[in-house]
Amino acid sequence: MQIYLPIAEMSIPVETIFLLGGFVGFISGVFGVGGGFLTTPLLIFMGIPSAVAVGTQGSQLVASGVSGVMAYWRRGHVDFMVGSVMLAGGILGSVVGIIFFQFIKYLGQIDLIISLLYIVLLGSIGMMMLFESAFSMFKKKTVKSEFNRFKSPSLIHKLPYKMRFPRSKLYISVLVPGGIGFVSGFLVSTMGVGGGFLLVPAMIYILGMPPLLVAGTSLFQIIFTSAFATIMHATVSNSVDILLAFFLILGGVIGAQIGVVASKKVTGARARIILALLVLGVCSQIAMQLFLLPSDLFVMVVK
Amino acid sequence: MLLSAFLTMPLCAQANHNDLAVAIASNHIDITVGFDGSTIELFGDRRDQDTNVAIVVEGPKKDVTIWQKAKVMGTWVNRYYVKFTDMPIYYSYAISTDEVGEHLQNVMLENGIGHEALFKKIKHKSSKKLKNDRNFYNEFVRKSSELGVFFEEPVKLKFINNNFFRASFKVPASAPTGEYKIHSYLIKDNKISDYKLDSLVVKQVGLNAFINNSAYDYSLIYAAVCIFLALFSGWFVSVLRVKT
Repeated sequence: MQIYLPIAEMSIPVETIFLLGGFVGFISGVFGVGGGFLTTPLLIFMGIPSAVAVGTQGSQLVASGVSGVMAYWRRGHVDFMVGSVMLAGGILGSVVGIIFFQFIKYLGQIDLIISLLYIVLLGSIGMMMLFESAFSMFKKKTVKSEFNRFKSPSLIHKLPYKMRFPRSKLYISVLVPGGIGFVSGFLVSTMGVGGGFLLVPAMIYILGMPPLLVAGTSLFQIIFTSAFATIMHATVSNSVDILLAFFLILGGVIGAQIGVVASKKVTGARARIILALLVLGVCSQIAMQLFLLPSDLFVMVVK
Repeated sequence: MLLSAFLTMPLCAQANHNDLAVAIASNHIDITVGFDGSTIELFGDRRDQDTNVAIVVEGPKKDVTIWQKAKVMGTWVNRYYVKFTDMPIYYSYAISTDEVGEHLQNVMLENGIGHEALFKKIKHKSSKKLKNDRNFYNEFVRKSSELGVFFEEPVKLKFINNNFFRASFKVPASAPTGEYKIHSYLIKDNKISDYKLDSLVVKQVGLNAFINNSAYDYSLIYAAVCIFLALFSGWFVSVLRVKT
């Protein structure tokens, strides 16, 4: 059944959006990631204008973030104080991201910049995840603890504006969580990804947070940053399509439930290897479009 | 609606004592949630059968930039461009004859009938070091044709009798919203002897219009509703997870 999207101003089979939402929801349920890195490029492949794809994806990130953070909150695995400082950085990152997004749109190089950002981000994260998972398959299992075995770099401790974060047992400059939040906010507003796969390692290795609190805290921050990015996209560029978001979320809700059931069969390093291959698959698809001779050398932009 | 336009047409023509009379079956196309394309139907009457009729349907005008990719440092990037200002982003035309001779072709070119004439009429600006602007226009035509909003070949006017005719112009699901202008020309002795201008509006209605208007007129409230929808869905999923 065809559905006309009022903001994208195009007709598209509703089943396609629903299935895409369901697929991303399934991935989210199995691997515990937001799935923004899949939704935005797939929406663009389907012909949705990149501005609408990025703008709309923010609201889906809010939905997946809330469902995730509720589970962590019940177990007490969210550090709201660190999350709030990250959020302040995230909001600033969103504003900068929106300005950057409008600028590259004006230059006519939006596809190039977004593609390059995706290649760098997905390529590096995918490779890191693949190697880490492959090595950990041969190692003994470790339990996520309230203590971080990794020490953050010494330069981090020399930064000013230090603050105490009792829940994470940290005494660190607010610029560090604020900076990590800034990167996340920038990614949400320019690429439509929450950046959980980037935030989590940064919070462990740079911030030195206990791994047990990392996922819940990053999701807490992503909810508000994504909500803010959605407001910015809706008010600055009118590029949030609520009908598209509705069907993506609806598919995502069902897909996530199936994913949670399936996740019991795919766990640990094996699951991370599959996710890494998925991330690298999307990355190589985007890279091919950028580095190989395109099937169409001309692009039309209507304003 | 079609029948009424059909029945009133000869009366309109006689009442106005014009050489050409044209009526559109409907002056609006409504885009609903399930919109999958439509047609612009029009009927016309000419007094003299030794004349030619040409009809041009122009969609809303926007600025269109055609970029050509080139390899820069190993990557294919948008390198050269031609920007066409006030370009109709829907264009279709009909002509009453299959044989377009040199004289008729000249009349069409002078009066903006057909895509060759459109290229001459449209202002354009190009990037430096670009020699062939025409190639970019051809690419615009190709890309718009693929989207179904630009028709290179003229639509055939269907004559019901010697003078009374009908034309149908396809409007695809991807058609832009806005005002469409319908220019009707009567060509006699290689000159325009009569001209009519009609218009119709392609617009979103119902839920679509409500969403579109809200997004532009009340963007902050619209964003809040989007976020509320997302928050509610996220909460609903978490409740489902606890129960399962």
